[in-house]
Amino acid sequence: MKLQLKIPPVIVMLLFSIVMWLAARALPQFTRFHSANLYFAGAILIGALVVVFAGVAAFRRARTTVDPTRPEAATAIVRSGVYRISRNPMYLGFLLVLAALAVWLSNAVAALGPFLFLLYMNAFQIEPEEQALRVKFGAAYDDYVNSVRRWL
Amino acid sequence: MQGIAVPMIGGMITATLLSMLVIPTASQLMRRRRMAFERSEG
Repeated sequence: MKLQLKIPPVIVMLLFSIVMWLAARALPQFTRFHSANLYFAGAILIGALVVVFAGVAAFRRARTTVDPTRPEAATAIVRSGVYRISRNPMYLGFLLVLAALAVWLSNAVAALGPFLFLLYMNAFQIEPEEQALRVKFGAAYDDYVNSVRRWL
Repeated sequence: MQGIAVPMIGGMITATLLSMLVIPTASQLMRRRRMAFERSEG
């Protein structure tokens, strides 16, 4: 089965969260809890939400679609706002949500979640998107790719 | 509506929701999680 662009990243993030939570529950011997972790987790989560909403806001301003299953429906290259720092701020935000959850759970096995999410997103979401955008926008997109990095 | 009124009312609504719902929920979640560990250690 081809997994490219099939599952919306929000769903992928939720699935990763559930697996991380189950892993932390099943393997408590890998948990090293400190109550300060809860404050760190909260701070990371707030940062994550800011990054995601900044990304959505920039797309709204440019009046292009945020539908992650049809990158070919995009109508503009957005280079403003957070898109000057990251080409994928929404996905970066999802990654930070998982990082916050990993800190909250304080479990070494659950902490693998964000890394696996990053690899999954690169292979099954971001690279197919990049190909579609390159076909659609050509040199203008290449120019953007060369000036801003994929995640940060 | 007047230009200044919209953000004022928005601020009143969000500040109320934040202090009455979001912050107590967050505090409760953190407390519960901390207590789960204190119980298992003690």
